[in-house]
Amino acid sequence: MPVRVAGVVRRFTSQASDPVEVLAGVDLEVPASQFVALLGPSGCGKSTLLRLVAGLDTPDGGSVVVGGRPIRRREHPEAMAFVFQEAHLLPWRTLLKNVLLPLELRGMALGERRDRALHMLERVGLSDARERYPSQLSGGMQLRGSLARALVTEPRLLLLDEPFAALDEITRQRLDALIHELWRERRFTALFVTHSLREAVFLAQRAVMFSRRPAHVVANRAIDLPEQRAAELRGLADYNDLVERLYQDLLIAEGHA
Amino acid sequence: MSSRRLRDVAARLVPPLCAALAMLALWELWVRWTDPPRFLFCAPSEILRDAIARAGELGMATWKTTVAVAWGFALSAVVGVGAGVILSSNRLVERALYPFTVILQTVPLVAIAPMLVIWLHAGVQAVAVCAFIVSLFPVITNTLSGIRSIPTAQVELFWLYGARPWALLFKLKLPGAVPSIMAGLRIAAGLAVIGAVVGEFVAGELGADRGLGIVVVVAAKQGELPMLFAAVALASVLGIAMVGGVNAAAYLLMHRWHVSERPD
Repeated sequence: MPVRVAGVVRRFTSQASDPVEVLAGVDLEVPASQFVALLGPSGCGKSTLLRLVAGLDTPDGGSVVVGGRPIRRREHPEAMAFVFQEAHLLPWRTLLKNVLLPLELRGMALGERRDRALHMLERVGLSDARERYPSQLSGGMQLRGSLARALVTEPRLLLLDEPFAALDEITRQRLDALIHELWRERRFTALFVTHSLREAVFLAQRAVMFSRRPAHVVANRAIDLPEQRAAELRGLADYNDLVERLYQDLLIAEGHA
Repeated sequence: MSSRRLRDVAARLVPPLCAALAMLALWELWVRWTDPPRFLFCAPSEILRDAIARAGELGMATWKTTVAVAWGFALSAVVGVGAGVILSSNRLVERALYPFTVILQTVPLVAIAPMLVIWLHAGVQAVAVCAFIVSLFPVITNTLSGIRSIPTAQVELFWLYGARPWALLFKLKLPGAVPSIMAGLRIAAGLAVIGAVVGEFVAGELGADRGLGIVVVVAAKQGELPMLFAAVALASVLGIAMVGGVNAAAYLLMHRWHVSERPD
């Protein structure tokens, strides 16, 4: 599902100070089935942009169009799923019931939704843990659970807001590999907010660098690597080259170069 | 019940029972040694003797009070959770109505009990309403704070999947607030007993249908100290049973997922 963001402005007002402009005319064009990483200094407004695309917020100017439909607050794109920074599984539901939740809320028949959820749990390698409660799962397992919950609806647009920031490096690389596999299988459009340049290069076909607040796009770079990504990629000269170039972009974004 | 569960229960019950027996023994010894005038103080053995002699009367009174407590508590659970849900629905509603719930907390029960007698006549209904009024506030305020404490991301998740308001309420807000609601009900359970006993002082039925509160008043007037102690002890047992009931419900609802109910 294609996403078009044109001239989007977002300001936050607080009583204490003047309005803070977070997004200052952001343009972004994402064709269907593309995996795009959104990078930039912390607090620059990447997450705000993601929330605007999801219909969790309204822009003060410009437009967000998803799959040909303009999006405003509380008008969520259909066939879209959102993965939050934390897993946010409901603690009183077992893992399986958490994955069932989106289908339940959309009124799918019980038999069908159970099959889909079980299949999805198998896909993320959590079949054995399906009757466990979130408090009995490790952080990495919880995030895999939240990924399963997002993908069980078979979304055509997946928004990920720094989902793996709190994980150790090995777990994070495993989950990156899992997301990549799932993306190759299903070809959803993905917007992935991250602070990790390596993660961005590993996963994305395109990396967009935002400036410090108020954010605008400072670089929009194609990641020209083989479409199938595997762990060996991390040793390639091209891979390291791209990471280095993104690092230079980041310095510009931070205003240091 | 498995032997493991049995041992867990025993591990919980034995220490407080031993402590109680030790205190009663000290009390008994102290009364026998110092032999205070019986209109001032009496021994546990004397209380027990009188209580057994008038077991029928005390049992009936305990039952009457229990009925009033049960009605009052059930009413405050239902109304309290409902009011908490309504207050949480909207900031304006909360601002408009929440200050009035504080009145429940501050108005003296003995002052409104006479009004209840005028409207409902003395009896179990008026006493149940006393128990209800006294135990309502903690249920409202805990339900409200429980619902307010649900993470924004979880609410947004429900929006993103197009959840209807009832689904948001029954699949997110109420289950998410269960730990808080249980904390509120635990406080309410004890307060309901206090409310009923104090309510009976003013609004209780006299005669054969009297509850523990009236037993207390009559025993105090007639200087029947053992009977007074017996009635107070039975009211305490009723309070402990109420709190125990809430604890059991909390365990059933939450032991699989919530830290507060996890075994040590």
